Amino acid sequence: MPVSTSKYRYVDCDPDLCIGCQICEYVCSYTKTGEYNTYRSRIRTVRVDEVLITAIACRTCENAPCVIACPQNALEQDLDTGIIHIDNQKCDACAWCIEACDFGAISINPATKLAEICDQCEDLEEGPQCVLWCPKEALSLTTPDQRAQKSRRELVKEEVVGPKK
Amino acid sequence: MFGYYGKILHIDLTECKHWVEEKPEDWYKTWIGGVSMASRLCWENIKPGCDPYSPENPVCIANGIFAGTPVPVGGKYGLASKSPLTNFIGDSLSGSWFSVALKRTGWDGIVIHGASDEWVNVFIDDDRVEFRDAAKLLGLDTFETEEAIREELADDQVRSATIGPSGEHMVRYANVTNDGRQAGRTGHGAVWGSKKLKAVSVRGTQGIKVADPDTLNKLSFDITKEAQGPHTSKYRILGTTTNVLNMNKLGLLPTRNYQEGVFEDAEKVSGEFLHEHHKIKTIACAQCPIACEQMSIAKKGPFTGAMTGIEYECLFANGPNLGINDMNAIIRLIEVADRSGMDAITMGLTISWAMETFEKGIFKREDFKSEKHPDGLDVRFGNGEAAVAVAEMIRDREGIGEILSEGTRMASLIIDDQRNTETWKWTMQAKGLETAGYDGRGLKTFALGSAVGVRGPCHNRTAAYDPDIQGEVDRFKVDDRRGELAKDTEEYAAVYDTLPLCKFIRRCFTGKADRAGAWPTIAQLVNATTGWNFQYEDIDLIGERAHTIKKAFNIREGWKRADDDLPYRWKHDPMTKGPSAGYVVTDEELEYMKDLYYQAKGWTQDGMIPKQKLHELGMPDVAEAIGV
Amino acid sequence: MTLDLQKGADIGDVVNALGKAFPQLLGEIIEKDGKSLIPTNIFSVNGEKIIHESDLQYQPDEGDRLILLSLLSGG
Repeated sequence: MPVSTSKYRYVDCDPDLCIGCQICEYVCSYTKTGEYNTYRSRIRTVRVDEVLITAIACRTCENAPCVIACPQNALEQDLDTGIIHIDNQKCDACAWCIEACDFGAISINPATKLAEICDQCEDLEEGPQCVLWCPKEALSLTTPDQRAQKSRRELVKEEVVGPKK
Repeated sequence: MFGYYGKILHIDLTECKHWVEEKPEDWYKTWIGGVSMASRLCWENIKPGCDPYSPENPVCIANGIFAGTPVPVGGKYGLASKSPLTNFIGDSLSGSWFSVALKRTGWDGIVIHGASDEWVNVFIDDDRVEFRDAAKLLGLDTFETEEAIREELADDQVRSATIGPSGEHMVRYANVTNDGRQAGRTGHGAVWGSKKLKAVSVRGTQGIKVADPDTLNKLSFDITKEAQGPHTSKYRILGTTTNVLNMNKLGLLPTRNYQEGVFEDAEKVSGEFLHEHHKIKTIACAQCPIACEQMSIAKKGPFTGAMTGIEYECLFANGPNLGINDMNAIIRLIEVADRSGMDAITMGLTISWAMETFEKGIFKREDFKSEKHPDGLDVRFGNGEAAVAVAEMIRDREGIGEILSEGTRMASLIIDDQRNTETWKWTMQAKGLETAGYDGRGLKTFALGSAVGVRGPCHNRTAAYDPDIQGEVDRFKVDDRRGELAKDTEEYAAVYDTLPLCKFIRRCFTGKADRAGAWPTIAQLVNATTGWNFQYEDIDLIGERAHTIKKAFNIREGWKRADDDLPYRWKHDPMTKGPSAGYVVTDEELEYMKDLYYQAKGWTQDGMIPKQKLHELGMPDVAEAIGV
Repeated sequence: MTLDLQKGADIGDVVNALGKAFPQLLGEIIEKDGKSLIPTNIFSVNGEKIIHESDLQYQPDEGDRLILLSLLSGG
């Protein structure tokens, strides 16, 4: 089971805060394609039974399985950031990367026949647009360590002060 | 064209065929979307005078101009047919992912004609139309139906508008449900049931383009952030259930079939109580940054585990209105309505009518016999278990459910005829549609708005409780301003219902929700989407046009001035307790206010619309058909 | 809840005193300057008369109960 390495950041969603509005999906697809289309979003919300809601984007796994699985060596993981980059010349949409990803975070665009994945809007100064737009601040660009720290702090506050209202 | 595709999809269920109707840009500039476009499509495609359950009554879906863009709360669509409850226009709004998916298909609207021989699930897959056999979906509730279709088609992005068992059984006030939201009132579910239309599913893969995405994104971003502040805090934390205690304090909380306006156990059925003891999570529709839907669960007693979203309207109708003080029973009642797909307001007011009829000795235990309850039921006010049993009988059209499923107007006609009684005197309806959670006896401008309402006494369409409740006028009296005020509020509401935009966002543009505070930003949003050059006046016109096409539809279906009326109780039975006790709306007051209102609208004394007015509003064909 | 006010106080004075006693209401129910209620929050006198947001000069009578309502439409 792949595990995120401690120095790689990824876009994480807090299911307690996520309301399932999907604004992240509109904004991501617009940023990447100039059109609003949830099919083209690199972050996807999931809703189960009305109340279990969260959003999923690339988790920047260490030794990313998608990279290992690609028969064309079309995927490369940046060793500093963990971000996956796709070589459009080499990708042939075979979808082995989709098979390899446990999170459903990589997808194939049927029009371009290329794989697509969250790149944290690394080319934009403000960083990930979804994080910027999320109305409930449920999304954050975080490392696993930071995420764990946040959970511990919230737990302690809850234990000492009482549950959030 | 940006914002629209210029194409309406027509589907014929009788012959299993479909065709495309192209519409020019001017048509969209006039009708925009939502209830206006849906009502206009209904005007264009219905056979006037037809039975609402006949194949000639079309199902008209009109998408929203902002659906699928980041414009907050713009993910909505309108649905219109001739209503089987009122025989006038039944225009409804629903929202969430169905409208977003529809936007991606390339269709601005859908008109469904005819009726199917077999139960059908119409599937619109971009530009392909499939008539899928819905036999396996029968009997599934609204949520289950959606899930089953998604599984069948193996795609999470397929969204469906469905009817549940209530619609299948043609309960006259059955609704259409999608994504946990409802096109709730006027009986759409029954119309779909008459066509054996179990569901309409859409999948769209096209990207949505707008004229000026930079401006649209910037405006949307700002409004999204504004929507986290004090202008929406009530909606976010308590949702609309905040109104239970508000209305109770003003003596306007409908209690025991509107016999009174104060409920002794209001605290136990308040939004605050719900929030404290039953709420699980607040969730949002698609494209909404506010999130007002209070998902709540029943925790004790025989209905433990019942879960659904709770709004003020369903709460009052199935709580204080039934004399029920147990939130668990109320949640279960609303769940029955939501899952089986029927209007929770009408259901509650039909049960409250039945309860009063029982307490007056006209209905007896035995009248409520069913398979589960062979000894009948004690249908007294406050009996939550009996109320749930009756709701289920309505859903299944079992026993007396057969009559109760027709709504209060028809049910009382049947009973009064059979038993020589006058139960019609305590039906809380006008034009055949049941009233909402505000008592007209203590809100006289609202009473006017209710009486003249084109789909019936709908609080959402009239919004005329605003001047009464904000203290702009004396809520217990009438004066010569009321006509103008009722016209203003209904046309203001109509703008939001047409774009559509959820009204909860109205303070987030500039802080002020009046026309001056909202129209300029709305115009900017429209222009950034379409590339048009709409100004303040153009936004204003949207509201007047939307209302007028609905009114014209009614006139063509036989509306007369006398149809603008109020429930007998509001005119003859004053409340005896609380701050609004002692008041009724007299015939004199009502006719006076109607005169003022028709005048303000520019209509004749009979409420007919002059040809010239219709020409001015850009609807010459309507002028020809019904103008005077 | 009781507030102590001078004789002849009007609604404006009530709002002021309320804001001082409960500063957490500022920005939520009462405007930040403490002078008036944020729109859709209104006072009702004994549940009957409703005081419009602009009517800050209204003077309640002796024995009147002022009910603060946070209004909401729709649902």
